Amino acid sequence: MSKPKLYLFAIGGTGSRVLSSLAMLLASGIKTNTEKIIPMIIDTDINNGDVEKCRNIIKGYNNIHDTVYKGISDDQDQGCFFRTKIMPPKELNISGTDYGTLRDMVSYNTLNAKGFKNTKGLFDLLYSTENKDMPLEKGFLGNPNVGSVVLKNVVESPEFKEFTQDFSQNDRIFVISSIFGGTGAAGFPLLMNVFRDPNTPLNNGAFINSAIIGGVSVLPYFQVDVEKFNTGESAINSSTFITKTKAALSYYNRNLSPLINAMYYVGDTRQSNYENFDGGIEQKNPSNFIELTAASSIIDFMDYDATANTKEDLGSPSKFFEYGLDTDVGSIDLKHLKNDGLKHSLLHFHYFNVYVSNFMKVALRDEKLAWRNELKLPSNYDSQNFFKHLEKFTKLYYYRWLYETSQERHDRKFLPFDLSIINNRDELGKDVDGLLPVKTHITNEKLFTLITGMPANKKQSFFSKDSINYDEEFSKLASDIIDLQHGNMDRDVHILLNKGIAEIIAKRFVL
Amino acid sequence: MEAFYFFFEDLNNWSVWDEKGYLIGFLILLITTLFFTLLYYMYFGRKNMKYATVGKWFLFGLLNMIVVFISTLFIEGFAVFDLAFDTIFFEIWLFTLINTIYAFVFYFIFSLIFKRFSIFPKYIPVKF
Repeated sequence: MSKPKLYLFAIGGTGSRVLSSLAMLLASGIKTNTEKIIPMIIDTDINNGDVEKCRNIIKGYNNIHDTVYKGISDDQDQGCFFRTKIMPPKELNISGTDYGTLRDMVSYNTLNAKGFKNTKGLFDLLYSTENKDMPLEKGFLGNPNVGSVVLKNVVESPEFKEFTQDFSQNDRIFVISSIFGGTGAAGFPLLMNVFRDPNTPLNNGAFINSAIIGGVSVLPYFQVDVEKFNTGESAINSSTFITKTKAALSYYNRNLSPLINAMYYVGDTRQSNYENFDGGIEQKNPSNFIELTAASSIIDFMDYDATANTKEDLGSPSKFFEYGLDTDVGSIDLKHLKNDGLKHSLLHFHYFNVYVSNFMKVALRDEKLAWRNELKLPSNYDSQNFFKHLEKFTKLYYYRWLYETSQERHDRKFLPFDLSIINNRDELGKDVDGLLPVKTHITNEKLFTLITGMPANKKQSFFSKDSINYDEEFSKLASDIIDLQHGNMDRDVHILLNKGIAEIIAKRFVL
Repeated sequence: MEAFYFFFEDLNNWSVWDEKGYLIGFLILLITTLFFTLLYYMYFGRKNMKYATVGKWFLFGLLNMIVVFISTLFIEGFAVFDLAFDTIFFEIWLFTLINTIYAFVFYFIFSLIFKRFSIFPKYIPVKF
């Protein structure tokens, strides 16, 4: 049987940010037990900056993936960068702008009619005046009780119907949500109830009903400026996050535990400090280590009882996972990660990006360079699409992701690589739109100390100077790549870079 | 061999040149140039990329010329003609100079042959 597809429901701002981190993990070549990932973004705040950023990253990822792997079977080139297919995200269009307020949405005034007195009373009991009059265009602003009503419409959207139509027997579902906000906390239970409804009227309802479903619930990991809440500038109050989390966990325990097959919990007591925005285009929270751990739970879920096709095949109906670190450190590097595969992939991918950003263009313009000539690359290859896509992903998304996870505003930073190579850190800090390419400068000496706390092996003596020479490794391998006869120049380049960097890492690092 | 060295003529010592002078000069040229070409392409050209530049290739060619120059002068002067250094006559200097120029031409031709067996300088001195 072919590998399963993974339908990945990313709910709210956290969902999109985890999806962005997942794209980085997949770009690093981490192996996944899936044919393709189909992200389904659920957010009433369609202008959310995090969603926009996520869309761009996946688009950049796919530009590279499609150039290299189009028409390639699943089992080929496993472990290579950008290998797993991520479909363009389907956005479950429930724009809050269309609904106005909760009062408008439920036609509250009609409840004044005769016979609806009890309904109106119950509604008033469950929803405050602020809840009823809150504009829905920017999400639910930490009010899951509002979200649980509005998000019901998700299952009526054409994108959801497409999902049900496309769903096959051994496909899997994973839901990313935060537990302490509004959209995620409301959307997750709702989706679970829809998927597990034994009398579901959905297309392929039987397949969906018996599918293996996993979820990651992100516990509080950041706090926002309370001042803005106190002055009424923002409706989000992070001091209620813990209370909401406790209430939601209690609900999950009672109602969702029997429905889900693999549940992951991630969170952090060392919290990050974000600006307080009521959603919208301004909500562009920097990437965070917790989002990376949430993303790694998706990879783990795909390997969870990998031979099982339906929930009935599972050894255990439900399992619960948490992520932990051995030591409570404020700055995490590769040595702190327990997953060797992840460590390995990130290390390779960083050296790949360093080559793309600092050395590849020069190499492509060197007419005497062996690997360039062996692969018969045209003289203008550096201005062709594949290189441009690589360069864009590296400079616009990858380095920025690293830069964001290492910011001082995180009480727990993710700093696996030496980011002193970034020249324009000050400008990046001001560029909230993320349009500014990262500028890097790397000396030959620096190539040995790119990994925090893990210098590359160096064999240097008085008579010979050691250096990490990418082009040398690539030139050694070029003729072997040609022998493979891919018939796709971009794929040849990509495979050469993958193999060459693997050789460099194998020589220089003991993992 | 006389035809090969058509630039050169020494009627006074024609028999010596004809008997072994030309041949020894040619062997020096051939062996030394082969050695330097193989050293460049088969050893350094497969070992380290830092030698894969036209500049380094030229440097090896220059070294080859120097070795050919010294070897030809000394072997022709001391071994073939049995002379002391200060008695080496003009024709030997001229022959040495011609052999040195040939050395670079041979180095270029051998480079075109052997470059394909290297890894890094495969497209040096010319790309084809």
